[in-house]
Amino acid sequence: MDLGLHSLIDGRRIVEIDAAPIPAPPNSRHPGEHLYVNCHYDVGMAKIPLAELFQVARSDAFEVIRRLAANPAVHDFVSVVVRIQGHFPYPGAKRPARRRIYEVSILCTELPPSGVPFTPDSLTHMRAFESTQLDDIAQLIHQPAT
Amino acid sequence: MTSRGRWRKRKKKVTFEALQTLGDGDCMSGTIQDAVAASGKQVDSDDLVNFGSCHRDDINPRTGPRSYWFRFADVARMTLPQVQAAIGELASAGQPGGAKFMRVSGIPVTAFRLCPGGGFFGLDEFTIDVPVMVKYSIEVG
Repeated sequence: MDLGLHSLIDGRRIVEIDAAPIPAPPNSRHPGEHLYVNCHYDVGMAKIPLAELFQVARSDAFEVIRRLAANPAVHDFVSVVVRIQGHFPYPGAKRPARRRIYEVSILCTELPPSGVPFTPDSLTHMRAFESTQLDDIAQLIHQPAT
Repeated sequence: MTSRGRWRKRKKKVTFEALQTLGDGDCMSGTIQDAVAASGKQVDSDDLVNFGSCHRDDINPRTGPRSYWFRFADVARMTLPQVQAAIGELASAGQPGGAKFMRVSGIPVTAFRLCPGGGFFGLDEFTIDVPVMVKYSIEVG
């Protein structure tokens, strides 16, 4: 399935996008398969002030949603979960720590019609969840969360 | 019919790994539960597990970044690629092997702080501020 996300990978900000259908946990209120899309930011993005990083990540997630909505096959999933993952260097650790800069989850029945822009205002008209680990990131890199 | 895919771009190199249909591809057939069964270890449904690149005897949040833990029952039916997608691969920006080992907590779930799963998927996360003794490290990838 071509989700139409390939062109978002620019090698500087977004270095990888992976997607997978995942069965909901046994006790989920929404059983069935959910589509997870993870966009991984380059570790260099960790230098950007968190408030700015959040806005960039949110904007990228909205573009992912817009592209997913244009694919009829995506509408067969229960929901889509789009995560913008940051990788933050941690002193003494071999690898950067992964943290969610931004996540949005939307029921596929409420995805916007193909071609319709997806904006922050769109979220107010649908059941959707947004979350972040900004506080955790701030603690990790000793930078104010906002 | 559903499928999964991964796109990578490293500098000027772009690769596209062919999508494999769930249930058809070998890489999608083995679940975490299968790997545990093959290891001969006993993991209970309510045991908390954490994924990483290596075997560990303990995980100490005081000497490294905070770790996230998951109830075994919630991830047992997932394949490794699905776990990586659901919890986010721990490796640096797609570096492979970031979830090769599943570490099973040796301390009770009540010692952890529950972060209820947001969204419609409902995968609960658990965190803790004290060192966790690892009961088993099971190779799952």
